[in-house]
Amino acid sequence: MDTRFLHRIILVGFFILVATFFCYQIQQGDYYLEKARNNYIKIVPFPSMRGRILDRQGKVLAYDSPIFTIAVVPYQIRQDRDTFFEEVSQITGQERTQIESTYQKNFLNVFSPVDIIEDIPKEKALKIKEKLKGQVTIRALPRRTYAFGYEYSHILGYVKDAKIVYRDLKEYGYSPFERTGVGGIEQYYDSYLKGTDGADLIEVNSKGEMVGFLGKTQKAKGSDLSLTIDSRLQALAYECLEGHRGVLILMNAKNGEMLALVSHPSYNVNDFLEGKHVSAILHDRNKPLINRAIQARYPPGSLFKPLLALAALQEKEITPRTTFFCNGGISYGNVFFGCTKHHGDENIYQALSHSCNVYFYNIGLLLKVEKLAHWAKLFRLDQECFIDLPYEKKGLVPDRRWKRRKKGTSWFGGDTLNFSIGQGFFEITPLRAAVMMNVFASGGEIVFPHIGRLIENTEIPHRSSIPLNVSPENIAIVRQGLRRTVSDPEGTAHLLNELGLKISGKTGTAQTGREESHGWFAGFFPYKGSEYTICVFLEYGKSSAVAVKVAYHFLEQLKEKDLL
Amino acid sequence: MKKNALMIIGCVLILNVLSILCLYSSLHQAGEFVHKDIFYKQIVWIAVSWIVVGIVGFINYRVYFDFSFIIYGISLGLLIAVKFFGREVMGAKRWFSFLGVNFQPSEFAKLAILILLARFFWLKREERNLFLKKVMAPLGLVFVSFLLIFTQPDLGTGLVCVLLFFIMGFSSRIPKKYFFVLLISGMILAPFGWNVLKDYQKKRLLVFLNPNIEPWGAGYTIIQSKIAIGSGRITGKGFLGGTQNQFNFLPERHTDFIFTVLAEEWGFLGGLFLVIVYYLILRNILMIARGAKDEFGYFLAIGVGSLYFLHIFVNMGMTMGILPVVGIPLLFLSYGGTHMMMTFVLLGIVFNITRQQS
Repeated sequence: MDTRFLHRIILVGFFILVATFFCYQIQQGDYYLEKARNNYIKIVPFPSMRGRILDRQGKVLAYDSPIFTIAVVPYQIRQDRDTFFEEVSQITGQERTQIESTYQKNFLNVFSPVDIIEDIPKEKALKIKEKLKGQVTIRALPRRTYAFGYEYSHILGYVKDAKIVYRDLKEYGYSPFERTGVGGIEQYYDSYLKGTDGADLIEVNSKGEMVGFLGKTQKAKGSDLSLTIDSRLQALAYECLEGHRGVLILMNAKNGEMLALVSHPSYNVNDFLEGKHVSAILHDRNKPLINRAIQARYPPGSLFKPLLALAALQEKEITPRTTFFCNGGISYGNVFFGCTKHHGDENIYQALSHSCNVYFYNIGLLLKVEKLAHWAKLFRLDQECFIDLPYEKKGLVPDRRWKRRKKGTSWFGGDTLNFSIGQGFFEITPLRAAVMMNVFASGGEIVFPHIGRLIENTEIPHRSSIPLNVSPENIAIVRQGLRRTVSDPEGTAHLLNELGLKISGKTGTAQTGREESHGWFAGFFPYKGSEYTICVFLEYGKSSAVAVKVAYHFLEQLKEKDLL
Repeated sequence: MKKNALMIIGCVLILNVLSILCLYSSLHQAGEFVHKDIFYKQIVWIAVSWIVVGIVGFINYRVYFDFSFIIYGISLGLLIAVKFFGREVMGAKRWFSFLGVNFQPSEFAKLAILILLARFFWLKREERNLFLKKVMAPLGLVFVSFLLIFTQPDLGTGLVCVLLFFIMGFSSRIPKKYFFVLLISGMILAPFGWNVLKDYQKKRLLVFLNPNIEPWGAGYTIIQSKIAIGSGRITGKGFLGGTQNQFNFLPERHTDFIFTVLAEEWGFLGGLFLVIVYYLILRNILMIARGAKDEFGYFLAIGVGSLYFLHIFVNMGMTMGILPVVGIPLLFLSYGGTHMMMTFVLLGIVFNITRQQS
């Protein structure tokens, strides 16, 4: 048992340590003492400006504006704390307790300025500073401001102090200013928007007073971000949804650029950030914080039918001449599956324009659940759209395995029937519904919707569309059916015909188990060389007729004001 | 042999007082006592730790032999669990937070490795394949812990585990050539490890080589710490008199940089006194090791001595800028519950080794 090895190591190690501090303290002691006396370096951080967010015409949607605060350096308060706060309270007219709690909240360390009054007008700040002679300083800090309270809350998100991140560092004077985007574009493009905080490197004497300026690290402004959104269309869409709970999407059919994306009801983001009505917003039964376009999913109802028609054509289960007879529903097992009325003999065009359930029950039975699920997945209905917004939900496409795993029962024929009219367990987000309809607008491509267009002047690269490899003839057949939905006097969206925009589309009324159903309308226009896809979704909106009306109002004004 | 234990107790009590004094001073800013809670917590920790020493001192150290693999297994379990359930601070997941008390599994891992190595290096009989069974096998196990700790990320603690392996290995009867070969091949392979390091770890190493490349970023701490230590000169600036300390120029000064506070306020004499006290503790541990009843006890004591030494050397070295800043606390002095507790548990083990002798 030999301890000599460790003993030697210890001796050598300790010798090195003692020799080192001998060297610093005795040999170079005076040099370091001099440094300690003269060279008190302090870092005073200051925040950078966050990049602006603009719409496609360059209109500013979000920007940083300066707010003024009264700050005090705790170390420099000469009199008793209580007397000091009392004095400040008298001069400013603010409650003493409030000033004190603000002080407590913002305290970093005794050398860094602490805000005691936040956000006051500049003139008032100057007056207060004069009265309190040299005891306080004025600071200008950036605050995120949104040009529109409601219209953009969901897609932009907001910005909040990242103080939490610095909880463990703040007493050492590390930048406590940093802000971080929460939700929406602010979060998704945070790294581009945020910029870099700067810092002044100053010399202070042993009383903590500044005696010299050593240098600075420049702050760098964040990059401006341009969106594909057109603020005129966005405002119009928001207006049209007034009084409803739902979503309105207008998309460029060719490349997936979002021109308007509104989820209603919304909340006033500026109020929310100032702490006004926060609990009302959080507890609102209409859940205004949810972006219904991407964060909630619903049964698509009859909106699923065009996809099904295409699938049946592709699988050669039907031809355009195939007809099924509708006498108001079919019996399957001992359950009756209804239709809206007695349609009689219907071919594919009639079935699409009348939204005949019986026709699609029959197709569903021909294709069976495997093929239904296969085609739904081919259209990526079980995946995210990968829009450039955080927290997007995937859709839910049921099949035998899914039902066995989740519900513990096997798949019944009735499930297939429900599936074929977009009901049952089947759910997608309204954005996905728009992208699904867009396949027929673009002649068979799945686009990736996006909102970000430019960072400064550089185009943001987005995923390119995926071609579906289906026959153009079959697409054309379904397109004709969708056109008839509007042009045919019996069509479910005939109301839109008088606009003269050559709209095609499909309505949907999805039963919910409650009294009111969800209302859908999705379509595209013009018929030839379609450029725009629109999707209206109304949560518990009674029926598709209401959704069609909303679309009508939107498109009517769009045409009137010549906004396209 | 009681004499050794008493000597150690006396020295540790001195360090306790020193710890409380330095902490008291480090928690002041310009004469104002901020963070009183940390100060009182430390006093409670010290008191609790002595109770723990009492308890561990009565546990026969040979149980560790029987439980060595179980203890090692638990330590791995904790290291894995902290990756999922740990509290994240500045991008590192090292702590469990439970009822306001933070527990750091890597501290426990060091103890587990120590016991494991003591078991492996004990040559009870002539064995073949010494290199595989007694060198590579334990190294493999140490390496698993190292990887888990290293990816937390906590490079410092990970390296301490590896160094523990070598010091204990060189103190064993296993031919030294094996360890030399490993050490040299390790040095050859080390540069390839560069790419595995996190950005902040790379930065710290670069800054260690030249603190001036980033005078107000990562290099700030080292520069300020050096100024603080150097300006203490022979007798120091006096209790609560350290300007570097009092005016908030030293980050982490109540944890990893507590030596800086001591050196600034008590000067060269204070630093020398501290090193002498440490030396006395280590010397007495080595004497206990030599007198241990069996080789397992010997290795345990050697392991404790090595761990103690490594913590002292790495911590003081980094505050003086001769080693990179790796976040290793200073033995008996730094604020930090788990670390304090583990230090005392190790002490309890050593005390039991002397108990078994007499």
